[in-house]
Amino acid sequence: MTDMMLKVEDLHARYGAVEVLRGLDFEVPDGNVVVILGANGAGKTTTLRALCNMCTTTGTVTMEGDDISRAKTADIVRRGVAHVPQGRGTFPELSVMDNLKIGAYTRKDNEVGADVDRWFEIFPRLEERRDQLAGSLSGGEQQMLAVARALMCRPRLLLLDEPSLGLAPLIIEDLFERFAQLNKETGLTMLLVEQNANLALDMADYGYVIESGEIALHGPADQLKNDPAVQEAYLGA
Amino acid sequence: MSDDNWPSPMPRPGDDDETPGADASVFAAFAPPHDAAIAALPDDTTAAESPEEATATAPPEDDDFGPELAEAALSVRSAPQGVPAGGPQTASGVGNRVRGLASAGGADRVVSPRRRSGPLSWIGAVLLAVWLVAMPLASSVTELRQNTQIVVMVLAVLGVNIATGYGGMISLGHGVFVAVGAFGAAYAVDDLALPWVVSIIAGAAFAGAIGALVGLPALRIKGIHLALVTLGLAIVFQPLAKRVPTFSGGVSGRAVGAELVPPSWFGTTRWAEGLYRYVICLAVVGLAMWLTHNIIKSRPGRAMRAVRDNDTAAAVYGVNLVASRVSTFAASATLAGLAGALGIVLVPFTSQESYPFQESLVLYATAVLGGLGSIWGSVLGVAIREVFSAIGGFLGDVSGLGPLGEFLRLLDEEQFVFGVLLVALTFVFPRGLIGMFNRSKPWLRYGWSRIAESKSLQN
Repeated sequence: MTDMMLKVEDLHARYGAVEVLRGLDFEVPDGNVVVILGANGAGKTTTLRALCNMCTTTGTVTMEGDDISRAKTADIVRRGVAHVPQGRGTFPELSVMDNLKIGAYTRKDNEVGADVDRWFEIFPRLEERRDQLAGSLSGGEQQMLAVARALMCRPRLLLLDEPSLGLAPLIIEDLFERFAQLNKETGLTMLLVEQNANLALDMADYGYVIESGEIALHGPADQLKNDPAVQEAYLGA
Repeated sequence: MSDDNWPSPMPRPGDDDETPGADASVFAAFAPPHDAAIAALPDDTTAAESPEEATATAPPEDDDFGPELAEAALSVRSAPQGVPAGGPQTASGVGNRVRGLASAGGADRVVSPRRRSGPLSWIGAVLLAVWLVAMPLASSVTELRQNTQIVVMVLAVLGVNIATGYGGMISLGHGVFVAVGAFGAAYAVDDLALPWVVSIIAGAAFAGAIGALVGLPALRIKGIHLALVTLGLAIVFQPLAKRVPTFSGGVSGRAVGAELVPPSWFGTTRWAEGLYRYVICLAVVGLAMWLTHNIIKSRPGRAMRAVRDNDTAAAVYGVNLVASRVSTFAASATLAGLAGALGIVLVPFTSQESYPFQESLVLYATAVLGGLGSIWGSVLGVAIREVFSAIGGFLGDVSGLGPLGEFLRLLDEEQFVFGVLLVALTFVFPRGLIGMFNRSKPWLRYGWSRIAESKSLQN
């Protein structure tokens, strides 16, 4: 049994009077890729926001044994949780370089420059455009920037919110290949929220399906992939 | 629905050009070789290996301080810093441009539009320098004082620019901070008998403190709603100020007893006095611009701009939204307060009557006119207003033109000229007049106005 990077128990979240998450329980083992599948409005994005304490929540979130359910967002970032938001959330009027520096905002060490170079090696396109405003990059480049920016805080847990959104199939495929490699080479733990079930389940170790704020189904990724319910709902089989 | 609580993506040029061609080129960037690159992934143990890498590649700072103009007019900066390794080292003026191209690796790639500046920048810099030197020599005592007031106005506009252009918080109430700075400095210099230097700083600091308080609503409200709240503040200010006579002088205003006089070697004529005050004000404005530039480029300044672009994402990376927004508003109010404090050095009288809420709107409009998110834009906004008022005043005085003369008389009215400027220039330069100085005409491609619009609609 691997150590638990993240353990979530009875997670509820609400926006005003609307309860969006109604008691989620899930686990993200250290070094694994876990995917959360769900239709629009199921609560996928809210789950990630709830983990970072960016909305009103109740329940327990434990990271490596410590309760972080009441921690401030900034402290959660300091613990090594990086969030790549849906729609990428790059800063359009900041240069690529400044975007990356914001990713390292909580870091106090002097190796930020070295890390920038590392990610530039993986995403060479970003280096070419280091002084360009992020808003002038293409969608695929912006997604790379969003991921590189998240990696700048040297996370141990990467939260990816629908990275495939609005990208061409070929780019998505390549992006997921990179995620898988990142996980394999560095042991980076990932929690991925997706609608693109096929690719996500190929890459993931374990999967959860949420419907209306509750876990409807979960299991090892290859098992989920063959589950008739999942196939019907997400794989179009 | 509730699932999509992230700010919806703003209109970005990249979003609508997902053409097959673009995809292919993006794909190329993803393509192998990654194996070698992946091997270099950091984790906490391997990253420490190359500290020298970190220092060797100190990234070049994005530089929108107004290209060559900055160097020519103020010479506050030395040679360009951070030219990428191997990039050509050139004389300061063209450094920015060359640096951009060098780092992009070729002329075919687009560099940040802000970094490019055309020959107009040089013309502007020369004109500004000539005016700054020649103006006092050619001015009467009164003209010199009026022109110094114009110079000081840059501070207030820059204040609006910090809140709105860099902080993304629309403020239609900055006239209030100018007034508070003036009252505060007057109170300090007269009632507390403090020296001028201390009084001016106190006035500015007091405005900054009020600004921090006013910044609190900005934590909850954004866009057009924040604009209304600040406008409301500007509207209640006048009646409020009338009720605190010890501070504001009440309905009739307060005269300032203390006078800032130059040392005797500077001269004792009234013109020399005016020149002395002009030099001081100019120095303060220059210093404030330089400080602003440095703050914008610093870590908190970067956070400020990140919050403007996407506050949720900034928070995710650990930026404290409360601290960032409140301090941005405080800094911006401090500059406006500084303008007010210097104002009473020039004219030893201040009254709530000088600060109707329309003044705040004019400050905002001037900042937008010149260019939000650019320090030189604020200078340009003030300059263009004054230049056109002067031209209008001149044309309006021409006589003997019959019906045309009647029409031209309209131009004598400052408000008319300003209104026409606003309407016309918003169409031509949605990103502000500073766009004129960029060679690549970015306002056609990517306008701040588009962002502002999408942001305010969202909230």
